[in-house]
Amino acid sequence: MYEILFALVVIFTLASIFLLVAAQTGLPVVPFYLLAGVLTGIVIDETQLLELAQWGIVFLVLLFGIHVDLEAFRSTGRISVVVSLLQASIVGALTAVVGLALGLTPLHAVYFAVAAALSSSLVATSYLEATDGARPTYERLAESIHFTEDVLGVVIVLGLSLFVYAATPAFEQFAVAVGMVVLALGFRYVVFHRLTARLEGDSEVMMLVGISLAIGFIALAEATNLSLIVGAFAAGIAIADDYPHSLELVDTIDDLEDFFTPIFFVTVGALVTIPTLETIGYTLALIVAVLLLNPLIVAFILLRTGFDGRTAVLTGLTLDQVSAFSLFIAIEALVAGLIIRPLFDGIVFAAAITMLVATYTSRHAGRINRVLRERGVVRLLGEPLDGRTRVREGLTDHVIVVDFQYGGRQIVEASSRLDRPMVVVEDNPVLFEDVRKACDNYVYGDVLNDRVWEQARLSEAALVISLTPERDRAETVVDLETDVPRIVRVRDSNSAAEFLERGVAGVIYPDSIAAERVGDDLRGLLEGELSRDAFTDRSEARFEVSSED
Amino acid sequence: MALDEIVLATDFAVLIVAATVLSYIARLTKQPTIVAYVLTGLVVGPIGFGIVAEDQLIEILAELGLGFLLFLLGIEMRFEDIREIARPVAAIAFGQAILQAIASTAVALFLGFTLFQSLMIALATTFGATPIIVKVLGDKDDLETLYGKVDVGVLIFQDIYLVMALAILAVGSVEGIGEIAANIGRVFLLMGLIGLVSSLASKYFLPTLLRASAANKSTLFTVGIAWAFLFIFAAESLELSVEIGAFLAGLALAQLPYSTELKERMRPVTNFFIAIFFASIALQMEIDQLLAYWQEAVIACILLLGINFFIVFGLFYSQRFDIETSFLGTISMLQVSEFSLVLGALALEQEFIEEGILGFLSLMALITMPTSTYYVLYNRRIYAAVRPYLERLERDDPIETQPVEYENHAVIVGYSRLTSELADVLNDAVDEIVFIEDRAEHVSELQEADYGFIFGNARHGDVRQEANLAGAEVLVSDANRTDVNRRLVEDAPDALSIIAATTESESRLLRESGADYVVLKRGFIGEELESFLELLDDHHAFERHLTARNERARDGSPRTSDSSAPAGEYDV
Repeated sequence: MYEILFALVVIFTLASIFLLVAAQTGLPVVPFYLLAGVLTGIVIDETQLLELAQWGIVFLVLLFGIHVDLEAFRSTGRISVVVSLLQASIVGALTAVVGLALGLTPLHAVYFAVAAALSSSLVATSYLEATDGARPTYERLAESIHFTEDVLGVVIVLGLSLFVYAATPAFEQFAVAVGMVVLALGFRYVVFHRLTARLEGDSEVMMLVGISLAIGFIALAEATNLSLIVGAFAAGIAIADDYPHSLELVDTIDDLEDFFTPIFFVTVGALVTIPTLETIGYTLALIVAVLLLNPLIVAFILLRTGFDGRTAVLTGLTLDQVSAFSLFIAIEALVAGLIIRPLFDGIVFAAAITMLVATYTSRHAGRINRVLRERGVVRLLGEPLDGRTRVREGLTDHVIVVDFQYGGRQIVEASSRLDRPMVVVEDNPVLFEDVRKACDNYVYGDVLNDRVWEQARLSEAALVISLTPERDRAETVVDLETDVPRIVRVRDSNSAAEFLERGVAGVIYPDSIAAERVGDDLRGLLEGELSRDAFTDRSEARFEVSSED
Repeated sequence: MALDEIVLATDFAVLIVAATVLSYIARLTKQPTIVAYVLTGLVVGPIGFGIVAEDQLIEILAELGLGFLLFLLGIEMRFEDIREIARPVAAIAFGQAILQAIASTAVALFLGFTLFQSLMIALATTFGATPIIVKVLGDKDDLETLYGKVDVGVLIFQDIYLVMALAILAVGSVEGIGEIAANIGRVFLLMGLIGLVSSLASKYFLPTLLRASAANKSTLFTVGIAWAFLFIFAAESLELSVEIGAFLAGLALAQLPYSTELKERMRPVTNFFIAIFFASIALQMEIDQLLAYWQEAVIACILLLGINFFIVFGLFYSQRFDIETSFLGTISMLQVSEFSLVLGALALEQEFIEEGILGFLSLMALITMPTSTYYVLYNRRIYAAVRPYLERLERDDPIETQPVEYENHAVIVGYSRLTSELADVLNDAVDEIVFIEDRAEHVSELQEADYGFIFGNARHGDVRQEANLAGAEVLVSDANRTDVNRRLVEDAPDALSIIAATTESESRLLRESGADYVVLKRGFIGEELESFLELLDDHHAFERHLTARNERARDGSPRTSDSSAPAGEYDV
């Protein structure tokens, strides 16, 4: 009791200090946890924490399973499956060969390869969470690639427990695993709502139901010699995250996860031993694979599938870290005694380092992309251009709209009504069909590319409107060398002031516009000019004319 | 545990699943979950099927559950709330300890125990069951009522002399008076020290620490847990009560604006662990032991419940509480606590009592704890039934405390340009405006403003309740989660609701849930663009229009909107 309590005090005190540092600097917290683990490993006996730490994995995977969202998968799904499978197999194969060359056994080479190939993250989804619903293409794309790789992670865990951890490789178990997922799906759609409806929102019992489901599926997994990760994943699928369960159950499990994950990551860190030259070698090899190979390969594949350079590079840059799944796999292997210490340590170190670097690269992705473009790397990877562009010869006095999906649909009608020609600049191949149908003139490509502006006939234009929610794209429009007035969307007063200073003619600040219009309606209601029904009708009228999602 | 395989601990897993099944059944049959948890321990433990034994994991989570429960209790206590009732609470606690001890000794002697045994039984049975009372009152939102506060105050006093009793028993003999005195002195000194640390921290250290941690969802929670752990650990290693350590840790946080959010974030963990705590009570009991004095135990339960009722009620009444408060406050306290097991076990270890007596105490706890859950739960109904007989005792000038609640107010969720401008419009129309916001960067701005302010996320029921959402006239929300917005609208069906949405499908859902006005910001962009295009040919009008728009965009508060990215730091 005393010793465990001491260990928990150390873990949570260190975790809070590191979290504070992370919160102040905006760095990710997992590497800090791992480093904290390395430090605490000296003071505490981490093996007695393993029982608690496992609950960290359970809740992480459970929540991932709960959030499996087939809807989000819809628009970019097929592309992301292709991208992730290609990326994982290319990088995996390359690192496996390197591993074998370094003298690893085939099994160790597999662990090595998995750590390099899986670069998704349960953890990264947190920084991909958009707050205002206007999400750029690369974020959507990245999210679904991460999702695919997480599923791939589950599959690899499954494969390992079938062929490595099982005494005799058993193919029937694969059927068992599939059966479990089917069972979970059945549970989700048939049983779950009936079960929870009778609880009338009692979150306490609901939480226990969630945890018991996890225990049940994990027990099932253990009974059939499958990993607990597979069980927790199936349990997550069995839990629906629609309203109101998202509030009553999912948030509750989320809070529980916050308790157990620090214990997990710190424990993993504490298992690390003093690095040897061998460890450093593995770490370096993994870092090269994860930081360089992964983003480049992803960007290359995306460019080949028709995305523009910027989206390709930015998406690639989200995939430059060791996945949390690799840590799960490594610790499973360690517990089973199937991985050598230097390799385990190398994977943990590489995870900590790449996660830190990944924060830097995602924060400065815009600049990195610009540098790569200037150095010609994007062209080298093969950026498509010209093919999907249609601008009428001799077009003048037109309006150029960047990223028209964010509220620009109305402008298409207005432009034909007012007889004002319009050119849309778009970089999302998924939306491109819509653009082609809706508009007469369009340019497909990246705003950073000067060719795009030539094609859009910037010098002859009457006005440029940028609706993009992404700051570096907006800045490109702000800094265009032209006399044509530009109007740029901003997300707060500070950037409005800054952009006006930098010479744009006007800004669109949606919040301020909404505040003014709604304020007028509300004032009308309060002063008795509008009835409550008329007030409601005002809002109805607004969202009927607005664009589709 | 050895490093052999990653599997979940079986005992623990079975305990949880059994607790789930029983609490689910309890929920369907409208029984309190505590009863289900205690039953769980009986069913799967040595008394029932004997498939679960108390292992280390269960023990530690149970202990943490109790610690966290008291921590949350501490967070709910504001000093100004306690100060005014401190004197009557002390009088009740003191009187109750002495009178109940006399009564219990008499009952035990009557049942044929020796004087020494009777004294031990008296010592062990004077405590109310803090976890039961706090949990049930918390679940029915009665901790903030007058009787709830008095009960909690009395329980805290009881915890203090529980620690003293443990200190006495630890000495191992009643002869060592000097040693006992030294031990008690040490306990007081150390508790005073912890209290001092907590109150100094609350003034000088915690405000800065929590402001920094509030920036991120997980940080506040982890910092809170670490704070609780530090105190629990200090109390544990100084051999003081874990409960008091945790309570003092919570008390230090209670005075800060972040307390509600922190409390709500910790609630799931606490609920999970406290379920294990209740379930683990029966795990330590053996059936033969338990039944050694079963007739005596049943009689003692009935006698003591009756006698103690009159003692506590009399004490409440003598402190000028009104009849209702006295009655409700009294019946919550009528049970034998699980602490009697702790004391009993220690006494057994020191060979003060035999195993049968421990069984006797355990059985009393096992009978009274679940039973009391019912009368605490239905205390108002019971009061309504007995009220006619008590009414003539009613005083003219009882102690009263006024609950403060928002009325005729507007609740605004999320501080943004939209909501701050709407707050200006609403200012004259409602008596009060309450902001709910959980982004740290807006805290000081909102605290300085003339509005009410609750730091917290509107997804928590307690936060919505604190804002008295159900009684609000107007609801404005710019929360970025649709499920939260739907819940807000459903909680305030009568309010005029203005809700921001980002997509078409969200707006439709919100309309269906009953929102009066859905603000789809994207819809306004279209309108705005149209106005630009219309004026494009008229150069002067276009310029004028632009200037007006730009000024609006440039000025206003708040200046920043996105908390996930520190301003300008992300270049994407």
